[in-house]
Amino acid sequence: MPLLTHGTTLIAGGQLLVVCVVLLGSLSYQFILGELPCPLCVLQRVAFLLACLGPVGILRRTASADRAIADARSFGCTLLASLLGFLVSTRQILLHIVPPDAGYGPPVMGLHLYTWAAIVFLCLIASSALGLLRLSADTQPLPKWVSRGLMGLILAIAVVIAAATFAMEGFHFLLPDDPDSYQLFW
Amino acid sequence: MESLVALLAAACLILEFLGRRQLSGWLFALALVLTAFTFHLHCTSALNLEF
Repeated sequence: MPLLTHGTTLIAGGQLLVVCVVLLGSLSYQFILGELPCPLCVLQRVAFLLACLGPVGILRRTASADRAIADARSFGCTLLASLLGFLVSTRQILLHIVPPDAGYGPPVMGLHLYTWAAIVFLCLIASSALGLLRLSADTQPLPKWVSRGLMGLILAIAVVIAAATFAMEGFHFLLPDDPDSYQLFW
Repeated sequence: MESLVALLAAACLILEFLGRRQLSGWLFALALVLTAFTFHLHCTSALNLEF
């Protein structure tokens, strides 16, 4: 089975793809539907970006003797960032769990974005654990166009998120609880 | 704080992509701690609900 020889790179590629889809969805909510993210949503975005450090490192790495150790460190980074993101998502779910609170923002397929985020953070934790079980020094790299494409996409998303967050926060210390404008401009 | 941690997260991804592993690792640690601190600030003051 050729896919099994990819091991950690396949898991890292999958993690990166899922995070890209989630963050693109969240950005489309902001820029197409005009729903500005709350501070906890922004922190979840940041946790997603930090969780991508591991997959980017794994896809970027070339074959070497200590590859397995370096890959383990990368998955460790993903685990730490995903745990933090899961805490933030859980906090936001609990904030809106008491009826008649309708939740923050419109739901997607019946669940709010922060609930989806909690599910994806759990998937990242589980897949990182799976990656740690499948560590190998002779992992095959993904095709270059796939890994370059995924890394380019997440870097572009990271830059857009950093710029959008700065535009929302301006030169204030913290974002307001319920942001309704880009404070850098107004 | 949110824009600072978002900037740090983007910078650490870019540095990792460019192969500056050590610097990217330090930025990751800093961003993680600052994100946790910002979360703490919002938990303790900004987003407290009044029942």
